[in-house]
Amino acid sequence: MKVWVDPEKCRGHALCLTHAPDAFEFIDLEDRAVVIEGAVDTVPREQFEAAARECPERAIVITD
Amino acid sequence: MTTKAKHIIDFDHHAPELRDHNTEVFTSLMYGEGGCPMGWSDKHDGFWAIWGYDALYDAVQDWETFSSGHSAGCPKGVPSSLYADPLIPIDLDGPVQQDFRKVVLSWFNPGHAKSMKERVEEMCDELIDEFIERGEAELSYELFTALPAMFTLEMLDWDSSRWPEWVEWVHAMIHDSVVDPEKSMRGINNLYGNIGQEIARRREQLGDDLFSDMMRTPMNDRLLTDAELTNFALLVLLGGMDTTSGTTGNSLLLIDRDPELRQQMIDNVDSMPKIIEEFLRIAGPGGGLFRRLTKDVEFHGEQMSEGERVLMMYWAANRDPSAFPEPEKIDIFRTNNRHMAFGLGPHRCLGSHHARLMLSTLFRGVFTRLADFQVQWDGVERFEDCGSVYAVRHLPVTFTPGERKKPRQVGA
Repeated sequence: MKVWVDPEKCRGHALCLTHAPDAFEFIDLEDRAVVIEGAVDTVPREQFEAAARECPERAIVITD
Repeated sequence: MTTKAKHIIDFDHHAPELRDHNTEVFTSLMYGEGGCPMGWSDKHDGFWAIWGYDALYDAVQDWETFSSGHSAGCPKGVPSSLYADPLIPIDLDGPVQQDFRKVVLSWFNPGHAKSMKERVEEMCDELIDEFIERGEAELSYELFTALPAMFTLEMLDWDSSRWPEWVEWVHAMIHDSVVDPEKSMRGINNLYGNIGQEIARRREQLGDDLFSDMMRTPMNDRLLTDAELTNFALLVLLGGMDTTSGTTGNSLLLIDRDPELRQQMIDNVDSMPKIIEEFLRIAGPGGGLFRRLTKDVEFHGEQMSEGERVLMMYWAANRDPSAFPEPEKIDIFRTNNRHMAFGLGPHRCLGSHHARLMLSTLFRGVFTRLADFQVQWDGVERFEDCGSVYAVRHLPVTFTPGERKKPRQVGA
């Protein structure tokens, strides 16, 4: 599984931090979220799916 | 070129009908002729309204076509806004809008909101302490208007005990602009004048607060002018003092009428950070923000023309059945809840992280300490005009008296 936050779409709503707190982190000065390195190996897939599903900007991309 | 007739709607966002029957109004728009996502109203010299989720999503992302620009010569509100200068950064577009956001990002990111959690909880506890022994309260004034207003003033490090004055002026500016323009203008002038005094005061001694950082942080190698500071601080007040309170009041009125929902809230107080999303969707404060077309464009089947104004009906899009199955049902466990309560795109509400924190905290406070509250409907009063912000002015309740968390201060 690969997970990517599209920096062109992310507008810093940060709902991914609510749904998958161990998978995403926020770059404060750029007002956007990124995937924490290595999180795809430790965080359950359902959390990534919830974050992608609830992202209002549809910025989170999951590929196998 | 063939021109298609506009989809005409009989709609006025300032009308009492929208305030009192918004479900019915939205439903008739959504399920009206051909399922149009938007329409043209001839009211107030004419404007577009977009209520369809997908159309609104596309519009907010395309800031070059749907401009947020506002000036005295080219006002974007409908009817024309009473204030002259652009509020910063909501009335700006493009890179300069993003540059202004960057000046204050360190005060508005999720980490900052998290660092404020204990303080917000303490404020909420203290406000509830003041009325919990009485068994009755006016929850708007005593709790959900007070908390966001005091919190906003604390961030700016302005005297938070003056919150009722600031709130009165903000309410006049937002809610009276159409029903009582003279009162609204007095509110606006009071806001400008008092912000000017705060600038002069702070100029003497900068501190560790949002307002000082606005004054000391360069934007592209220059400091903000006094006019920019004024219009930036004014937006902080407008965003901070009217919207979170609106969502809280709207939500509590809905929950009062639904015993099963009330029980769900009580049973799930620890899940508030997720539950609030459903209330942001169904009870958010509005859809009074406008854009203006910068060019002629064909958009979702309609021919739109340069200069036309566009009402972004976020609160209607949040109830669009194509995006939210059974949109009128309140489901605190709803998934795929990509609501637009904070807007989308480059203008996403900068205060959204603080708003979520305050909403979670307020709900947790209410549903742990006065969970059996009964709304005294005879005393409920909404702001007359919901065209900008849909909110509750007075919300009296009774409940089983409880105990204070902190003892009353001796001599107070």
